[in-house]
Amino acid sequence: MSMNFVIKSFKVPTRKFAAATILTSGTLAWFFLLNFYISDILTSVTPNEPLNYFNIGQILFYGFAIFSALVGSFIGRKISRRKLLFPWILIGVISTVILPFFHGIFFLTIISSLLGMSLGLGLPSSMAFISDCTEIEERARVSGIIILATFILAFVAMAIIRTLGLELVNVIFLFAIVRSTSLIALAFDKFEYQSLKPTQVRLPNIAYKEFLFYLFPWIMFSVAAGLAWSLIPLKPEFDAVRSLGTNLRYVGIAIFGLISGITADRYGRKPPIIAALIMLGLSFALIGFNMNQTNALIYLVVSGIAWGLLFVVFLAIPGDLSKPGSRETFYGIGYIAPLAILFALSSIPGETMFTYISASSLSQVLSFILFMSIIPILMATETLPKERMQERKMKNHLKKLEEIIEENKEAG
Amino acid sequence: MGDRKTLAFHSYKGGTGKTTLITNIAALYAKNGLNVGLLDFDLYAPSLVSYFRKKPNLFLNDVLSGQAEIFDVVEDIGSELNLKGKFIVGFSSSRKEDIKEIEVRHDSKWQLQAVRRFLKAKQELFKKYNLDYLFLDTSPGIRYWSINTLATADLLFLLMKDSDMDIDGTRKMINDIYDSLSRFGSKYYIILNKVPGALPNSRIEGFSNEKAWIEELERVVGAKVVGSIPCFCDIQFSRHEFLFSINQPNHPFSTKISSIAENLKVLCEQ
Repeated sequence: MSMNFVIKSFKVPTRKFAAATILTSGTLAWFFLLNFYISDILTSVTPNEPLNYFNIGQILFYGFAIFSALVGSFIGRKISRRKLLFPWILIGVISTVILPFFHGIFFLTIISSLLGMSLGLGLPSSMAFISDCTEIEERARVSGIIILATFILAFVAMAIIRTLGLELVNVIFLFAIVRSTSLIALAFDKFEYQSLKPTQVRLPNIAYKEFLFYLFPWIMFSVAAGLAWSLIPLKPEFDAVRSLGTNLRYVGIAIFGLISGITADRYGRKPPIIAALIMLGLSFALIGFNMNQTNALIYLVVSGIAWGLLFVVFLAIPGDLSKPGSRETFYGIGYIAPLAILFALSSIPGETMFTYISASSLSQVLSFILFMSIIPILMATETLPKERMQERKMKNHLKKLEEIIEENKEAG
Repeated sequence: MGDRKTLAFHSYKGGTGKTTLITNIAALYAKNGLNVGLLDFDLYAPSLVSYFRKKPNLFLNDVLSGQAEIFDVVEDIGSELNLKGKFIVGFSSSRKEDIKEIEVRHDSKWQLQAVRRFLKAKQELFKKYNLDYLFLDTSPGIRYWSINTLATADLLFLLMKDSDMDIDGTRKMINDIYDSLSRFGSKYYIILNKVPGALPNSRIEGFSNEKAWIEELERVVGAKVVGSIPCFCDIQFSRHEFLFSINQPNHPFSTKISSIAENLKVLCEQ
C-alpha cells in the first residue's frame, strides 16, 4: 500500500520521523506482546504458587509503569533525553531476557517492578519527542503511522510465534528482540532538547483547562475499556469468537489508528474522539442488551476501531496542548497513566467483578459513562487551529481548480 | 491590442488599499483610451458598490450562482466619468445573507461550478466589450473566492504594507498558494502600499536607501516588487474622493499610480 498520500506533506525531517517511529513502536509492540502473554509469563515465574501471586505481579507491573511514567515525566528535562532513553530501552531488554532464568515470589516482585519501570520511565520522553519534531497538522498522522508500525511489528512477532510454534522461553527472547529494535532509533537522531528559556516553556492556564476537558473522556474510556475486558464470558462457546474478535480488534486498532490520524489532521481532533465514544458506547449497549456470540464479535471489532481512533488522537493531543519542555508531564499524566489503568483493570478476573454487578448492568453503566464523556469533548476547544484546516481545504480546492483552468485553456 | 490580460489584486490582510489602487489604475487606463473591466470579487466584504455609490439590482453573486448573465450585472461607466475608453464595472452584493451564502453555505463543488460560470462570463466580457484589461479585486487572505479569482488571472499583484505581520503572511501565502498558482501559468508580483516615511523628502531612518530596502524585502518574501506607494493621509482618510488618478492627476499619489500603471503594462507585454 502506498503511503504517499499520508506522508507527502510531512515537514518532519525523515531521520527524526524514523527515530520517533522506531523508538516508540518498538516499545509499544513489546508492551502489547508482553500484555498478551503476561499471564503465561508471570505464571512461569511462580509455577508452584497460587494464582493470586500472579495478580500481585500484574499489579506491580502496571503500578510501576504508572509511577515510573510520572517520575520519567518530571525528570525528563532535567537530564539529557538520550541518557534517559538508552538505559530505559536497555532495562527493558535485560528485564525481558532474564525472565526465564529466575523463579520465585521475590524474583516475581523484582521483575514485575523492573518491567513496569522499563515501560513507563522513558515513554513520556519518547512520546514528547514525537510532538517536538512534528508540526500540529501532521502530528496525528505521524502518531497513526507509529501505532500502525507498532501493530505490524506485533503481528510479525505473533506470526513467528505461531508459525514456528515457539516455546515460552523463545517467545520471551523474541520479545526482547522486539524491544531492542528501539535501540536502532538512537542511531537516527541525537534526541536533543530544544534550548528554551523558562518563559517559553510556561503554558497559559487555559491550556491546563483544555487538557482536563480532553483528559476526562480519555480516563473514562480507559476505565470502561479496562473493565469491559472480562465482559465476554469465559465459556467454551465464546472461545472461537474471543480468539477471532481479539485478532480483528488489533487489526482494527492498526488500520483505524492510521485513518484516525488522517482524519484528525484534516478535520480536527474532536470528530474521531466523538465517533469512537459513540461507537464504543453503542457496542457496550449491544452486549448489555443481549450477550451472544454475534454481539460479542461485533463488540470486539467495533471496540478495535474505537481504540484505534482514540489511541492515535490522544497521542497527538498532549503535544498540541503543551510546548517543548512541558510535554513529558502531559504525556506521563495524560496518556500513559490512563493507558496503564486500562490494562491494569483488564487483569481483574470477571468472576471477582461480577460478584458485585452483573455483566449486563456493567455494560449499560459503561455505555452511559462513554456517552457522558462526549460532553467535555464538546466543551473543549479544538486543538488543531481552524486556519490549518482551512489552509488544507484551500490547497485541495486549488488542485481541483487547476483542472478547470487547464480545461478552459484547452477549450479557449 | 493583443494583450487581453486579467489582473488580480490580492493581499494577506485587509486595509492594504487594494480597492483604491486597483480602481485608480483601471480608471487611468480607461482615461487613456483603453477598454477596461473592473469586477469586485471581494465577495466577503464588498466595497466598490459604495465607492461608486451605485444601487444595482443584480450582482456578480447572481452570475456565480447561474441566476443572471454577466451582461445583466455589469455597466459601462466610462462616459459617466468622462473617460475615453470603456470602463465596465461589476459589483458584488453587500447583503449579509449573500455574503454568508458564499462564505458558509456553498461547498467546494458549488465553488468549482461557480468558477466555470465565471470563466465563461469572462470570455464573453472580453469579446463583447473588446476589453484590453480585466481587473479583479479579491478578498484578503486565503478563502474560496480569493483563490478562485487568483486562479483565473494572468498576473497577480500582492499588496502589502511594511509590517512584520504583513511580511510574514505574504511570505507564507507565496509558499502555500502563489507557487501553486504559478503552475497555472500566472505570474505574481508585490506592490508596497502605505509605506511610512517613503516620501522623497522624508528623513526617517531606513529609507535613505529605498532600493536596498526593497531588494531585502524581495529576498525575504520571494517575489519581485513592482511598485511602492508612500502613505498619504489625505488619501487614506478622504471621505468622498477615491478616484484621485482621474480627478487629481497632479497629486503625488496619482503620479505614483501612473508610474505603476506603466510598469504593469510592461509586465503584461512580457
